[in-house]
Parts: sequence; C-alpha cells; structure tokens
Amino acid sequence: MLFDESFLHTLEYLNVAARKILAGEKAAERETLRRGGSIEFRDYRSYSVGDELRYVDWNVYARHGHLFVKEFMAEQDVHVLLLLDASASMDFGRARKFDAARRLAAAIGYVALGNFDSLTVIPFSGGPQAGLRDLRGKSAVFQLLRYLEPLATSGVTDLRAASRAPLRKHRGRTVAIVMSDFLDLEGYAEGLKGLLAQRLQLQAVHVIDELEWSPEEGGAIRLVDAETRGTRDVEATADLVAAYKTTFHGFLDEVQGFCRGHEIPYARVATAAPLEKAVIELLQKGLLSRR
Amino acid sequence: MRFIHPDFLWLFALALPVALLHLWTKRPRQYVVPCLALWQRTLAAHERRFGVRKIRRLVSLAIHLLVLGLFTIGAARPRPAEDPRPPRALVIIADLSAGMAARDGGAGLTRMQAARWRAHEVLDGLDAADRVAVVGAGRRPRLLLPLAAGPWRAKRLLAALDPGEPSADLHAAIDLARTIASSLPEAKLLLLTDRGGVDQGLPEWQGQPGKASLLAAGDVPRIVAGTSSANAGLVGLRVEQRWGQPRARIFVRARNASDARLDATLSVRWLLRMDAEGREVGQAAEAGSVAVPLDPGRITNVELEIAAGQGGLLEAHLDAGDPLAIDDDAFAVVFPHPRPRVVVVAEGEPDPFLVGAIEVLSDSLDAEESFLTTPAGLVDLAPRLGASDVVIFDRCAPDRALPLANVVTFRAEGPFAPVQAGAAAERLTPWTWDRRHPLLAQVALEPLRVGKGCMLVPTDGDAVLVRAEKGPIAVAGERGRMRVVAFGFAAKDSNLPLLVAYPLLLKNLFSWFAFDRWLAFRTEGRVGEPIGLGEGFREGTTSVELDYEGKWGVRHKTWVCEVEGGTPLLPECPWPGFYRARWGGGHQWVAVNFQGHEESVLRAATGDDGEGPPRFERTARASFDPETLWLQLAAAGMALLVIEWVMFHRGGGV
Repeated sequence: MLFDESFLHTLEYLNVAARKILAGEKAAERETLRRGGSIEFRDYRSYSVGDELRYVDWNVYARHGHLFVKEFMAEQDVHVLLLLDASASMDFGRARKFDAARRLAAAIGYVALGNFDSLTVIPFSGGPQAGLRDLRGKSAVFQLLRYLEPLATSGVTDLRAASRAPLRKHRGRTVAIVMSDFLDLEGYAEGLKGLLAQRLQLQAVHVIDELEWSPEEGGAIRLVDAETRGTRDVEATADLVAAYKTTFHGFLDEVQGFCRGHEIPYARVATAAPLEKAVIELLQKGLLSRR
Repeated sequence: MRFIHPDFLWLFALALPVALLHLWTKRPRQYVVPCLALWQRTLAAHERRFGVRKIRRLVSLAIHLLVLGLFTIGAARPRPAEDPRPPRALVIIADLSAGMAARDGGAGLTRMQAARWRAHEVLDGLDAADRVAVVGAGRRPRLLLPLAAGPWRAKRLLAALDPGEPSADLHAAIDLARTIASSLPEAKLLLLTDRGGVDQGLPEWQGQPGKASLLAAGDVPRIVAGTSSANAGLVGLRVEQRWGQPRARIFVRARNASDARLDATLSVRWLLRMDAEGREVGQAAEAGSVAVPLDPGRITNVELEIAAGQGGLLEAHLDAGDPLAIDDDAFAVVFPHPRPRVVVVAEGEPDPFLVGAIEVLSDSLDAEESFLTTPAGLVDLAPRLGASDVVIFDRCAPDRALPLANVVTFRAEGPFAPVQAGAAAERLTPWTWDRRHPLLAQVALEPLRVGKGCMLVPTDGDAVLVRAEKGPIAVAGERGRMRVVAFGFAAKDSNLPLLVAYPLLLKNLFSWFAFDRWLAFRTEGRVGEPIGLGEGFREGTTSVELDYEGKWGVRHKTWVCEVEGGTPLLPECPWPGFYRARWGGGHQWVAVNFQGHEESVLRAATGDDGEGPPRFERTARASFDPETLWLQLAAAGMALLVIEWVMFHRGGGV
C-alpha cells in the first residue's frame, strides 16, 4: 500500500515543518499590486469623486483640511498545479520512480492544501490526463490520496504534448510543479518552454533512481526501452558502464542547465532519499514559493 | 607428423559442444532501461573507441577452440615424420667420481657442469630420431640411460647428475659403453671426465694410480674439464674415549694433495648431542678449532681434545679454500658416556675391602650411585637396573634369574649362579692368566694368593681369565646381552685387596661392562661400501630402515635393509654424512665418510682431448623435442586460457 498510516503521520509532520519554512514569506506570498479589501493598510491617496466615503481618513482631514482616502492590500488565491509524469519510464528503479513521485506529490499537495491554496493534479505521459482539479482545504487530502493510489504508468514521455493543453484555468497565480524523469530527450525543453508560455510559475522536480546511473555490469545484455520496447544488444563491459554513467550525469546537468537558463527552480530527488528530507529540501529551495 | 596416441584426436569432437555451450552461455539477457536513447548516445561514442569489442565473443570462442586443439594435439603426443636415414647413436660415459664436483676457480661451474655444457653442443646436432645412451662411471659402471632415449632426455639426465663417488672405474665403464654401442652401427662414444690423457707428474698416493694414467693410451673421444690441482682433504677421523674420562681425543688426518703448502683451519663441532640413553639433548655447537699448516704432498696428523661427557654426532671440517668440498668433511659418532649404578649384594656383612675400593674409586668409576643390599632386597631394585649397571654378588648367588644388568660374582654358589662352582680348594695360586683380555690389561697377578676358594665350571663361550693349578678361578662371559665375570674366591679370602692389581682390575671391569651395548653396533663406514651394523638388536628384528640425514636436511632418503643372521647390511651409502638406522623400538647413528684418497688428487686439464668430441651434422628437426612438446602445448593452452580470462572476464569484463 503506497499511502499507509505512517505516511499520513509523515504528512502531518511535513505540514508543521512547512509552516515554519513558509512563515517568513507568508505576507509577501499573497501581496499583489492590486489594491484590495483586506484589512492590511497599504497607502494614502487624494480623494477623488466616486471614492467610497468609508475609506476617507477623517482624522487626517481634521488635522490638515484635505481629504485622503486609505488604500488596503488585496489578497489573491494561489493555485498549485502538480504535473505528474506517468510514462512507462517512471516504472523503473530499485525504489520505482513513479512511487517516489506519487509520494512526493501527495506530500506537496498536503502542504499546499494546508496552506489554503487550491490544488490540481494532472498526470501526463503522451498528453495530459483528466486529473484531479481544484481541491481546497486540508480535508481534501484524502481525496488526493485516493486519486494517486491507483494511478499507473503507461506510454511515452511527451512533455510537449502535455504543455499544449491549456492548464491555466484560474485567476491569480498558478504554481506549476513538474515531477518527471525528463527522459524525453528531444522534447522536454520545448515542453517546459510551452508551460512557461502559459504564464505558469514553473518549477521542476527531477526524479532519479540509483539504478539509472549505476546499472549492472557483466556479460552480453539486450537493452529494452521501457517506453518504446526498442532493443539494442551490447556487451556491458566496465568501460561501457562507465561511459553510460558519464552520459547520464551529462543529461542531468543538461536539464539543470536548461532550467537555470529559463529561471525555472530545479530540484533533483533520488528515490532512495527519505520523503521528509526530500520535501523539506524542496521547500527550502523555494518550492511553493510564490515569488 | 605422426602421433603416439592418435585416439586422443577424437577429443576434438568436443569442439561442437564447446561452441554450443559458448553460444548458450553468451546469449544476451534482457535488461530493461528507462531510456534507450541515453544508451545509444553512449554507444555512439563508446563503440568508436572500442569497435573491436563487437567481435569479442567470436574471439573468445576462437580462443576456446584453439585451446581445445592444443590440448588434443598434446594428448595425442605428436612425433616427427619417419626419417628414411638410419638413426645416429651416441654413448656418453659420465665420470661420476667426486673430482667432477670440484669447482675450479672458486665459485665457478663444477667440472661436471663445464663438461655438460660442452656435451650439449654435441647433443644439439642430434634430433629425436637419434639415440643416446649414458653410462655412469663410478666404483662400478652402470647404465643410466638406455640407448632407446633421445638427445633431450640425455640432456635432462646430464643436468641431474651429482658426482660424488670415491673412485671411478673408467675402464669398466668404457667397456660397458662399447658393448652398448655395438648394437648400432657407427655409434660413437663420448667420455666426460676431469682426467686428461697425460699424467702431470703429481705424486700418486699410496700406490694408487691416478685415472690419468688409465686413459693415457685410450682412444675414446672425450671432453676433459678441470683447471686446478690444489686440493686438501681429510683422510681419517678417529675419536678415542677412555672410561671415566669426560674428555675425548680427536685424531684427524689431513692430506695436502697439491704441490704447494696450504694453511688450513680444522674445526670440529657437534651436530647433535645425545645422552647416555641415546636421546637427543642438544643442537649444533662448536667443539674446537685449530690452524693446520699442510705441507705439499704429505699427510698431517692433528690431535684435539674435546669435552665429551655426552655423546653426539661430530663433524670435522677442513677449510683450505680448495675447489673440492666433498673431502673436506669427516664425521664420527661419539658414544654417550654412561654412568652406571653399582649394587653390592651380600647375605651378611659385605666384604669391607670391596666396599672400600668402590668408595675410593667412585670418582674414577664415575658411578651414578651405589647400593648395598641382600639377595631378597635385589628383587625390589631389579626393575630399576639397566644395561649399563653392575651387580656384584659377594659370597652369595642370585636366588632367581639374573637381573637385566652386568654381573660380578665373588665365590657364588647356587643354581642361579652365572658360572657354576666346582670343587672347593685351599691355597690357590694363579697358574696362568689371559694377559690379552681387556679385563686383565696392565694387571699383574703373580703375587696373588688365595686362602680358600673353589674351581669354576665355565660354559661354552666363556673366557677363562685366571687358571689355578686345579682349574679356572676367574671366568668372563656373556649371558644374552649382559656380561658376567665370576671369581671363585672372595676378595677377603685372598691378598688381592693388598695388590696394585686390585683397583686396576675393578676399573677394567667397569670399562668392559660400560661399552657393551655400544660395541654391539658398527657406527662408521665409507661412501660406496656396504656396512654391516653388527649385533645390537632386539630379538625378532627383521628389518631396519636407513634414513639419510646428511648435514641436516641437505638430502633425505630412506632405504629398507633386510636383516640376515642378526646382522643388518646397510646398502652402499652414496653420500657422506650421518645415517640413522631405525628398527622397532631403537635406532643407531652411523657416520659415513668420503675419504676417497684417489679423488683428492685433482688433475688439471691438459688441453689434450685426444681426437676431440664427435660432431654430428645438425638437422632441421634437431630442436624438436617430442618428449616435452605435449607439455609445451599444454602450457600454451593454459596460457591462452589465462589471457582469455583476463581479456574477457576479469573485473566484470564483457
């Protein structure tokens, strides 16, 4: 069972830990340039015709003889969009990348719901799936878990197709977190660009497994692609394995470099890492930050 | 090419299962990867650098099949094709005398090694179809390699030869070689020796002619090795021990067989120490050394005195810096010095003269302890007595069978007396006595007067020591392994205690008893001579094992010697050193010395090789050794397997 009782305890712990981490930026998170109806004072301006009289500061008028109107901060909703890679390549690894990604999605979703944000989870492989939309409140976490539990992997990773679908359906800010192995070598860059084009505050979580960068050595093997089922016979010599490790780490650096170039916050999560540690590290790196 | 065992060629049929097994074990196993594109990106660069790896599996299979082929051909034992020409033949006579072990010029080659290298040049002209025999020339000639062998086996045999015999009968060896060579037409002889064709005028020792003169008129093609003639060696070692004296005298004879004076050092050391019971109680220790100037062509006698309270194995070594080592050592077994217990048995008051004499002489006799007892008390003491102990019956006889000890009786009359008493007599005077018997050495008995006594009745084998007018009054003999001396009178009934002869007689008595068990064995011999060990064995011993212990671990070999007539005959011991004869419950050391007088006289090569060694026209197949080819093939196969493993399997390779 992916989400057992101990996992729920872990979620509660993460929620508390996340409050401490996010508390420092709480005020700024919801601050917008729009003036709104909150109780938080922002500035004065001269009265003009049509302004509501209840906002006139009569004390100032009594002191200076001019009418000034008080302006207040306007709060806005923050919407968290989790794009979860459900392609067949995520069904790999000693600790199965897809399981790690789902746990991570549940944890981040719980933190977001606990932070009074709305939450949408959309799995994607060849394109976006229906997903679970507009969850609000902590009580929605069980709906989230029930949705994530039966999810399965299939198809090829195609971030481009996923980015073509309109994902921004909310007013206010939408923080989009892409959880993927990005093993769409030719298309991940365009996919991320497409998401940026939808004016999403994009963040990338790269899920990797130890078996990916240190495959087994020895003898003749037939490589089978988990997504396309394509094959290739090779002799898994120590030299070849070492060369593959170099290539894989080069790929990781390539994705990270792309994100840095496009100001996309990037984090790498290994499947073997403890969930609490992984989530806290993500929050400390700015995940869920609204800036 | 022919094969000795062509049936083994069927082994190559294993190539098919080997190939199938190879393909089966090397078939690829599936390995699911998340993104094949990443691997393809890797392979694109990797295979450019290691393109040859594509054919690794084929190379591995080819190596396995090649190894199988090598093993198969090796097992079939290939031989070169039949040669239409008749085989050539060579009979080598190798001089195995010790002189061939001399190292000319210090640490250079031995003469045998030098001769062997030159013999290889002759053998290199022969091939596998040719025949070589080797005859060893020692004290007796012997065939070391029959004429059916090829040159490669002859080379290996020559490399293993270890010359060390005290002499070589070259004439007999040449006769044997000629007999062997006569079986093949145009067979040639080759003699390897250190004796040239002309005597250089060095002195011949003790009338023994050098081998040079034996060959002077010979017509055998030969290779002569040796450049030096300066040698000195030990020709004798004798150890003299005296009863009651804990020091032994060593007499060494050293001979300078060169024509120049040599300053040598003679050192003596214990290689092993033994106690009176023959147990090993100590290891090597220096016993003494002395500088010895050796005049040319003379024998020098050297005398040393060493402590010998315990026995042991003694080695004398002469260091003269000469080229021949084998005659520089001599070995001897030194008897342990037993300390007897002395028991005086008397019915009443013991003879005060006897007891007093034993007390006075106790230091000289080196007795461990002495007791006074009665015939009944002897029963309790008997189990403690051994072969070196002495029981003296004073005017009484044993009341049962004799204990396991040497026995002296003074007028003992009874059924268990070792020598039966005859008629009583009075006023006895010695009529004759055996002056040559060791018991009476330096003993004068003319003044002896006996008041009363009895005649003795000796049994067969007993020696009459003193005879009075009416019969024997002193008898010595052996009962089993024990010795017995009987007197027909008590000392107190004669004037014997007043005579100078009395202490001398007692001392001789104990000396005669003490070496009883050691004298039963022979403990020295010479290289090449059979050695009879003597009669010192427990009854029922039927076989004796002989171990060569050498100079502690240099060589080891064991022979089994049959015992015939109670005397084991050790085989011709081939090396100098110590041998240990072992039988059920006991052992005895035997020192075997070289002392080959003739071999100590080294001759220098004269350069006269006669007609020189024979030459054979070298054939194309001369370097083909069918005896070792199969080994070489097997070794090559093993080497290929190792290479294949390193290339394809080490460190998780392909």
